[in-house]
Amino acid sequence: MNDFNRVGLHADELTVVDPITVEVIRNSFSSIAAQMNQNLARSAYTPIIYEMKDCSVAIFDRHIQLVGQSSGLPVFLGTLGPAVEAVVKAFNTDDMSPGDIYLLNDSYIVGSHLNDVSVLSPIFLEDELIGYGATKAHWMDIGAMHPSAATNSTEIYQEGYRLGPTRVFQAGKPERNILDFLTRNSRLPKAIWGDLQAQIAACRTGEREMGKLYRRFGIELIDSASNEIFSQSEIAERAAVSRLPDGQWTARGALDSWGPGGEPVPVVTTVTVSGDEMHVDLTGSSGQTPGCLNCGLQQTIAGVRLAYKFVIEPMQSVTAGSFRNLKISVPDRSVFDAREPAACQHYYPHIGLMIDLFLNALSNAAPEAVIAGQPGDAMNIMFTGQHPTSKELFVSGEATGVGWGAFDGGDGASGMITYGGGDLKNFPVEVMEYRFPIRIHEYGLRPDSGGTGRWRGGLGLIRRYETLTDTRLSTWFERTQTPGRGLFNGGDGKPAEVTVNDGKDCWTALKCGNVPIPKGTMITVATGGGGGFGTPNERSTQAIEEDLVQGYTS
Amino acid sequence: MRLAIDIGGTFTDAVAIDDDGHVFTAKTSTTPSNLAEGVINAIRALNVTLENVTSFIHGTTAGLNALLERRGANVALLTTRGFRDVYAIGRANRPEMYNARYKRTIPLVRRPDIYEVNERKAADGSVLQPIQTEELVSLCRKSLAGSYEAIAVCLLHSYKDPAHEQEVRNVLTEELDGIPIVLSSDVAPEWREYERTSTTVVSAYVAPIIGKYLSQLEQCLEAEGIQSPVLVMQSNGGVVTADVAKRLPVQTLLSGPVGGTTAGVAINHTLKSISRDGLICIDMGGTSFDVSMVVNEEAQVELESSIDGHDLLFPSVAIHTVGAGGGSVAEVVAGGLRVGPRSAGAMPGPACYGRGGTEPTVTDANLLLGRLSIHARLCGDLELDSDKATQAVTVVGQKINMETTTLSEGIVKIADGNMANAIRELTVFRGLDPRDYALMAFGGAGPLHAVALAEELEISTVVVPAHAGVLSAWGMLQADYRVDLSASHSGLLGSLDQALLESLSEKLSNDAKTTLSIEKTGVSSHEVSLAADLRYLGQEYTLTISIANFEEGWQDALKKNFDDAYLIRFGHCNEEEKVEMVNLRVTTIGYIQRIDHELTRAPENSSPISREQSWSGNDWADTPVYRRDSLPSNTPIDGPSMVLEPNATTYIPHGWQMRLHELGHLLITKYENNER
Repeated sequence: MNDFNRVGLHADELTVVDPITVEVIRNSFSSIAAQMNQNLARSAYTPIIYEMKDCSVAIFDRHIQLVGQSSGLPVFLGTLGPAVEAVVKAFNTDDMSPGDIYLLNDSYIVGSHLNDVSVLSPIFLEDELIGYGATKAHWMDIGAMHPSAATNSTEIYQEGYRLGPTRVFQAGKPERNILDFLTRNSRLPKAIWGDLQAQIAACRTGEREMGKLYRRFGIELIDSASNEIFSQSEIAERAAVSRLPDGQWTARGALDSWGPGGEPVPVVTTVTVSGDEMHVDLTGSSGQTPGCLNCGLQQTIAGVRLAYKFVIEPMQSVTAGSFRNLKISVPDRSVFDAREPAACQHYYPHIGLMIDLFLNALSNAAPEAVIAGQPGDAMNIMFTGQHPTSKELFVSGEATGVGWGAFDGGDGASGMITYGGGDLKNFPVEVMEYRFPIRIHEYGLRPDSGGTGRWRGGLGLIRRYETLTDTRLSTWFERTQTPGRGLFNGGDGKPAEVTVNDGKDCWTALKCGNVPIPKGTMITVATGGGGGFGTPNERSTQAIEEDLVQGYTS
Repeated sequence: MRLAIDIGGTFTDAVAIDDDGHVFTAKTSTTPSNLAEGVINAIRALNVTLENVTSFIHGTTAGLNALLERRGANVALLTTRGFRDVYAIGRANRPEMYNARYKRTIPLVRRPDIYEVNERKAADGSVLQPIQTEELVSLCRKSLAGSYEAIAVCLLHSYKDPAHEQEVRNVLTEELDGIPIVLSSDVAPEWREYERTSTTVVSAYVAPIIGKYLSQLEQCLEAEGIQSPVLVMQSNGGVVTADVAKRLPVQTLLSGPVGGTTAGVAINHTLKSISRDGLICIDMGGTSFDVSMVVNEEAQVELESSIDGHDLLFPSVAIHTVGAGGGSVAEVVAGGLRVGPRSAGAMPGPACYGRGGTEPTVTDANLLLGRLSIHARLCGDLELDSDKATQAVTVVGQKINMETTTLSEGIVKIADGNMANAIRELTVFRGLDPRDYALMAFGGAGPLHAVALAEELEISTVVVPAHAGVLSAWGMLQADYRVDLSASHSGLLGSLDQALLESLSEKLSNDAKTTLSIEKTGVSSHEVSLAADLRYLGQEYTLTISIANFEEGWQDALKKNFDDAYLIRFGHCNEEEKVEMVNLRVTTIGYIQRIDHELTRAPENSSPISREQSWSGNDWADTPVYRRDSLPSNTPIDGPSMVLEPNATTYIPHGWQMRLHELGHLLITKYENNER
């Protein structure tokens, strides 16, 4: 069993800094992280970063304590710390120099799939190490068994190159052999080269701005201020948890399968609130699966923190002082703590279900703080093939919005990206049709898909594609077994449906991997709706009529 | 004589300059129920002969208010079959990532008012399914006629080829009785269907309101004896005639706030020597802090923006807003001190207003530090109550064990830090170094904080402009005519179709000139500039790079300029990569006849009106207080000192020196010269 608990470091040896300076420094850290993230997203090459924000940045002090972060995807909340720790362990800080850049992607170290590559740099003030700037972004192709991503892998070795801590720039000079390896083994070398450049530029922004801040205030003073900042996070979070009643609650659910043709994957989330501490225990959840539905421990920790954050101090920024009162227990070799040689391509579905179950469990303690269930998954669909005019490989991967759970005081949001997705944006029809040999015939809300209730669950989406050339299709649509659950007598949301019609055959394809489909095939995707909240017959007549007029219900 | 009117939330400002350079200003209350009435009041308050008015320039919040208060037109939206919900779904994203209850802005058009049309174009503009006139006619007769005040039309891929939208307009114009029909290919001919739809809907939503308002205003002005055409300020920083504004109403949405930036452009032009690269314009009021930039003589423009959750796709002056103002509240959260973004607003306002506010604000802190004179009058004629301010600050000070003066200083420091970060995010992130700019401060609280911000950002010169109280209106007098047009044109640099681009440029230039109606408006000269939206092949976001000409080697030059600009902006570039063009942009500017010999009044009395004590960082210092209209020109005065004018106070700390420029601008520079 992995018990994960944050501990504050060396709080004793510090001088007292006035609250004014502390606040000025706190705001500066946030501002630096925001500048790094903007630089990354705006200059990245692939849509998955600039449009879908599949990236994250963070800055750390020299003790690898998080001082500022800006996530593209909230599910990356705080996963960069372990990446920095691994690099520091592998390369002694004494061997690091200004201008160094390191990268790694090992799922068992950083938690998520190998496509997510962490790029980081040590930050120096003159010769002294003052901290680290780190970024993580999804690379479009790292030489997996299929273009872009392994779709039915059973071992991590099929999912592309796996990198432990690796130095790619030494004192500002590129390690050409490594850069050559990275691009030579990718089907999309230009894209990953461009994205690596964008990540490095973001690190450089962090170096420059951190340098200015430290030069102005000095290391000692910033250390003391940081400790004060961490303590503020801790105090606020402890106060918020202690406002919840004590108790222990368990919620259970299951994913449909660990892959095409696979068995269901049970997930159990037990939440215990005791005074100002919270404990999340995933005991009872599935062991690591034989498919590619698994993640490393660090991704699970990030996911639990996200679940906690939805309820505890959602508007405050995250620091090294956050989550000190959150204890996480994860069973060894489970789907949440996969070990060699488990495949980890789909690192998110069980995390999404766990977040849903966390909120469901907490509904007993704080009905006003939670929302009803949603089909908490990204609803991924991917087309790959040869572009008929350019003759080059094309990869179109996208996530689709779902209906969100209703809550005390409001209907659920319709067609919005799942918990882990945050600012991830959909792919415009016009951009998609311009880039890829795909036509979209319909994109709309899915009526009657939201759970009934005093407050209605949000609606899922319908998106209908036609292939304009011979294509390979991969889909991953989850949660027909545990749909968006209603709360307090609210109804469940409708589950997802995916149908493929090539003119001869019509089949359902909630999950499929790299399946060849001919030109002219129609693929219709319908995502699930959110759960309702409260007894349906308490819904106001006005709201019922409005649903009919708007066509949300029939 | 040229005359400008700026309608703000509280005040309607008027400024006029006659041909001899005499400047007249007036400030009257805004009349929300009938804005034109307030305009006439302001004009009358100027006390000038109206027959002499040759141009009348107007900045109005009529459209913006209608949008924010949701009092716009009843709009129907026509879309391609299968895409009715594109507008409601938006981009499916959730900007507040830890907020599980995040809700999008409620759409301006309800689902039953969105009609799908049977038609379809492919991404290259070719027709997959032709449009059917009979279907449109029956749609008009059955559902549209008599039911709506405006129609928005956004069909897929119409940015590439507007033919289908134009057919829709032809039928609707026949069938419907003169209501505005707004085409997406007119307002925002750029790809991405959601953003284009949103822009088109907003445009239709405000069209009837702005149209009606401008017509009413024209009548009132005529009745007052003003013969000149009405010109309207646009979000892009230029003016157009009222007729054009009625046709492209969405472009006037931000017409008020950009006046300050156009003033910056003019001041930057006359005071060239004060900075290397331009001006950072800051406008600080009670609740918000707005930053905009004048870079290389031009207002910095962005191609996309968002107002209250409505996404808009057209060029507008980039104004970055953060929640920091005089009313920002200081409070203790989890043992730490926070300042803003919560604001005490105007009611109850800062504690020192004596309107029942008990929480300390930035204004209270400034008062206790002696940086607001006891003679200052905020909000018109309000006497400040320093006892109430002391009480409010002390209560918070006790919670974190800080003495009142130290805490007051801290509150101001945190607010300054937040504002400095906002400026950094707007400059450093874009590859601009704030030290290469001068800081222009206006708004009630801007001049109070300007020097402290300059100090933190290592900026060596601060300008508090003449007419700071009515700066937006004054700025409008300085604005040239401007029309921005764009067309989608994709291809790789090096193999662009030059003949096609040249003819496209010529078409857009002619369209722009027609829109400007140059013959009628009597501009002295005009200039057409071309630019391309470029990106590395495979990227999404573009940089706009100007095209000097189509002479030999122009595509190579464009490529090099793009690489250079990319390097400055992002810190890396990729010279080996192919560069893709996405849009062609044409900006046409018609230059107005400026009156640049403004007369200033000679001061009657140049001695301080009082001497007060202000906190200089470690001690109280003797601080002379001057009235702005009594300062002598070009006489250096050392800080600490204070300058009062009707709606603002400028604080000059120790180590800085001010002098009044002959054009009336207050210049404040660092004492030990400006060396870097």
